[in-house]
Order: sequence, then structure tokens, then C-alpha cells
Amino acid sequence: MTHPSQALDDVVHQRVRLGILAVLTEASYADFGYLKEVLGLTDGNLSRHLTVLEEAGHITIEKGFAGKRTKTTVKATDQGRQALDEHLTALKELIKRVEGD
Amino acid sequence: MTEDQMAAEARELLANVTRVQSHARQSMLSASWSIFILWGLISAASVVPLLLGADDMGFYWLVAAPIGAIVSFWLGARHSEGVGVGESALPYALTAIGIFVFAFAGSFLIDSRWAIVWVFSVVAVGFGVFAILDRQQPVLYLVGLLVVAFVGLGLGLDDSTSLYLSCALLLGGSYLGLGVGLRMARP
Repeated sequence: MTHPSQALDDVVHQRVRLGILAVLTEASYADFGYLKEVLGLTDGNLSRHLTVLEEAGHITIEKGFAGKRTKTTVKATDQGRQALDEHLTALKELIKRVEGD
Repeated sequence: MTEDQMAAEARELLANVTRVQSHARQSMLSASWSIFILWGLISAASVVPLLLGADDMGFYWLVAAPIGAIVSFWLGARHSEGVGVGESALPYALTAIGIFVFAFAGSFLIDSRWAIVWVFSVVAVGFGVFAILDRQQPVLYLVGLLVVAFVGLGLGLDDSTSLYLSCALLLGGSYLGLGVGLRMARP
């Protein structure tokens, strides 16, 4: 039997990136500003994490305009939703394994 | 890292996931009170034409329901725009169309007194579907109670006017009460 930690995805297994995917699976989309506020990040820090998730195919990023202001909207892909589900399952398995000892 | 440390980290990550998902859900739902108040007013106001002598309420709902739906979507879109997080409008639009089609189809196909029970029950159940989409469990209980009450009124009241007034005021009062309650419970 493989250890649950083997199922942890390195891209997702990070507090901020897990938080981003968690928001985007609860909602259909979130703005850059909302993610920044709820996760307590700076613009640069959030951008870096979004880039990692986008490159892994877990999210899509759309840039547009709301009036005169630029607006960045982020959505989870099906792959991202699945990755989060699998990651949460692995985390719960890990806890269960330790609590079962 | 030991297994205990890994489990502690996992617990912390899961707690953070729950926190941010709860925040997102609360942010998205913080305007639902206005939609319940809107539909409470629409339902309660429908008794006015009846009291003024109208004998067919179909026209009122044919005008009020689409206007209410458009205003509801506008309120939802404006709120999502403001808070920066939202859900796809498609399931909500399909549910609204379903409520409209089922309510009107039933009102033509069913005997007049039970048509009233049918229409109000369809509207209540439709809001139950919205509650499932919003994961608002308490609203589902209210919907169940309303449907039971509508059927009970249908069995107890022979007069169509009294039945309509009772159903409209019950639905209107319930949604107004729920809307006010949600507004007051907002963090």
C-alpha cells in the first residue's frame, strides 16, 4: 500500500495555491482583488502563485476591463478541480493514517 | 518530516481550505436577502389585483415573474461584480425558466383550485433548487414546510380567492421574513 503522501501534488501542496483552488472550486470565478484579500497576499506574491497554477493547467486567467480599470478573472479548470479533490483526499488519508496509529 | 508533523500540516491546510471556501460562500450569498425580499414583495403584491376584482392572476405573474427574474439576476450580477467572486448564472437561469414553464403549464392543465396550489408549490420548490445551488440548507426546510402548507390550504379551503390570498401571503410573508432574517444575520 502506498503512503498517502505519495499522492500529494507538489503544485497544489502549498498553502496559498491550495487556498486559490479552494476558492475557485467553491465559486465559478474570482477576481484578482478578491483572492488577494481573502488570502492576505501582495500583488506580486499572488501573481507568482497564479502563474504556477496556470502553467500546470489548473486555472485559466482572463484579463479584461471593468469600466476604465483592468480586471483579472481567474477560473479553475476541470483538471484543477480534480487535482484539488485528489489532494484533499490524500490529506484526509494522511490524517486518518496517523490518527489510526 | 515525521508522520505526525505531516498530519499536523495536513490539518492546518484543510482548516485553511474550509476557511477560504466558507468566506467565498458567505461573500457570494451576502446579497441573497435582497432577492428573497424582492420575491416576497412580488408574491404579497399579487393579492392587490385580486382584491381589486381581477379574476385571473395569470396576467400578473406573466408580467411580474420575468421582471422579478431579470431584477434578481441584475442584483446577483451587481453583487458578484462588487465582491469579486461569483458563480455561473446558467444553472440559475435554467431553474428560473423551469419554474416559469412548470408553473404556467400546470396552471393551464390543472383544475383551478389545485392550479393555485401547484403554482405556489412550483415557485417554492424552484427556490429550493436555488437553495441547493447555494448550499443553503435552512432554506430547504422552509421550502418543504411551504409546500406542505400549500397542500394543506388546498385541502382546507374550497374558495379559490381565499386559497390564493392565503398562499400568496404565506409565500410573500415567508420570503420577506427570510430576507429580513438573512439581512440581519449578515456578518
